Amino acid sequence: MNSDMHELVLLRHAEARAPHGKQDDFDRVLSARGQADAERLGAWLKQQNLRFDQVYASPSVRTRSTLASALPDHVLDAHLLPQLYLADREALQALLEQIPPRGRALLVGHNPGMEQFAGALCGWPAPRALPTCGLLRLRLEAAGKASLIESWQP
Amino acid sequence: MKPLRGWLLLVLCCGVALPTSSAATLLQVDAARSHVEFGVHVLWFGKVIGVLDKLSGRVHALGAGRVQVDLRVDTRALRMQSRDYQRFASGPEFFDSAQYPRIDFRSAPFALATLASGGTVDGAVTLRGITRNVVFTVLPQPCAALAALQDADAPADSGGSMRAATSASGAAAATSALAANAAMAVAPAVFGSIVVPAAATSTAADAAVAAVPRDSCRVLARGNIRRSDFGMRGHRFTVADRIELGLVLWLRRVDAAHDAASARGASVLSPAAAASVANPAAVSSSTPPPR
Repeated sequence: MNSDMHELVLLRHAEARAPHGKQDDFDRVLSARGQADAERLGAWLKQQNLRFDQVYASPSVRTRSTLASALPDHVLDAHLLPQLYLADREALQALLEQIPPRGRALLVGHNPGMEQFAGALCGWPAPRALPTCGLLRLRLEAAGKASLIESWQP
Repeated sequence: MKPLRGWLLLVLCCGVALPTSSAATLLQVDAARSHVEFGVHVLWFGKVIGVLDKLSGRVHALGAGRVQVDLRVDTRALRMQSRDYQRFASGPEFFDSAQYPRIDFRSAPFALATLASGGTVDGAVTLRGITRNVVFTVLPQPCAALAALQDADAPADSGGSMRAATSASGAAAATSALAANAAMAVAPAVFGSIVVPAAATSTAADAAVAAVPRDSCRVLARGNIRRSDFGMRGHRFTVADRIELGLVLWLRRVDAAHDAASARGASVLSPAAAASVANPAAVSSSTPPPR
């Protein structure tokens, strides 16, 4: 990857359990299915030998758990950004401006912001559905063009 | 007859503002040393900057210390950091150089002193066949050659600011100002350091800059346009609407003989640009941007 081209990988957290009682949305934990999906994603990433130069995650429990299951090697060096929690398209746009433009960056966050952001970047007429634990690997070019390299979903 | 009547009206309206063949060319853009910079912000990548090296232009004297600038920039002579950038910038989504190889700028009349003392210059830029008003901010660049010109051209009660700028420390200051200009002109200046491939003629240009004639002055100016105003609507989410323009112009005094020769081929005015100079407010309304 040269300085004119970087990769942005958007990962939506894996499925979470519905909040119980007065549990805050922020504290929702992964469901059994979500846990399994995140582990399958980790196996796929390993198989692809996909490495990340920078990792950013929403600090919610479900995003951190997804990261820990799929990419345990990045638990310690991941940046937890409060502004990623339930970030909408505009917030993600603003956040990207704050990330150093280099290499391959991973954002672990939430929908609908993630899929709307991907749609706006790539100029899709309508956002493509991003299921829980879904991943979109995008190529961004300095000339402003963004395109989908590949996607993964459980 | 309607088109003819329209042209007559245009000529009548613009008679005062536009330089005609009788308007003397006071200064000529030194194409070997001058260039135009442009910068646009791209999401995640920051400001992407390019340089347009091929341009021509003149400063016309209108009398009473007033002048008017004409610039013509070739969008095909474009340098950027990489071929990808260049492809995009010269492609149909940006300058569309194949179809629109020229950018024209024509200023409204302004005081000659502004070129040295700094200030704003109104005008109209024509890009991709669309003309819009633009305001350039001229950065203060004291220059002895301009001061001498103004002394010759200006009425007795104008131009004090330029004389003050160049005479503050006497003749020695004027000489060193030129020397400073010469050193800084090696690199593009309006946007700071720009990493672009050197022009093929850079060695010759650098050598020429090292021996800046005393009848030359450097003028730096910057302004902004909105690309959507000129039909550039691609990648709206990732590429900012605002395009920053920077002019790095070396202006050289023109002698009378040269002026007579250049005036014969100097008319570069488009009807839209002419209308904009006569009535800058009319440009935006007469050519509404497509939505």
